[in-house]
Amino acid sequence: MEKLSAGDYAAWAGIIIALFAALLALGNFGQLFEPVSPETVRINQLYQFIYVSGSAVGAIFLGSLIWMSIKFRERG
Amino acid sequence: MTRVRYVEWGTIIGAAILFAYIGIASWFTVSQFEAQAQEADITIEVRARQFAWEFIYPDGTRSAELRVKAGQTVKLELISEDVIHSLYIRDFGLKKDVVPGQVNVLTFTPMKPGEYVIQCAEFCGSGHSNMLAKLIVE
Repeated sequence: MEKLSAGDYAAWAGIIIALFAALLALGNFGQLFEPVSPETVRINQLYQFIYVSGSAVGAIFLGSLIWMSIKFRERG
Repeated sequence: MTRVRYVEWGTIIGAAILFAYIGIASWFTVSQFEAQAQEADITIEVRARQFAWEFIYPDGTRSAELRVKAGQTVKLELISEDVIHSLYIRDFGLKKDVVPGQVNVLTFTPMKPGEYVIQCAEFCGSGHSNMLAKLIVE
């Protein structure tokens, strides 16, 4: 099995970061509600944490999947 | 320990910390909401039936609209007269089931004057989508 180069790691990280940024931008950085009440602010804080952490986990999983399917594809 | 093992344990511990934080933070938030019910400025009874909401104010006035003042802590006592409903104020991110035979409580403090939609978020029959009311914050 070939050893991964610094460029491979950079590409892997780049895909993950790009996906993470795209997910945050699409989801308005987890800002779901206007602050119309203190309860809404607290609910939004919870939602925001879950959205950002979920996006990070999703970006790592999907980014790795995409990178691996390109890096380790069968070459004819 | 091999590098793969580190990644494996990192994933397990990371996920556990994440879930624990979400659980604890949610529990604190819900506890705060429940504690707030003791300090409400006004208590309004909400009666849900297929397919309408009725709001009964402390002076006995009945209305199809929920009218409250900005900055006032409002306690809603939710009562169902027939099937399970769910009071949902989308703009506030608040939702509470309205279950026959029990009184559920929802407390909130609206800060921004305006008109908001109250809807039923639990399918309750053919007129479910029309089970709407207005929340007016003055």
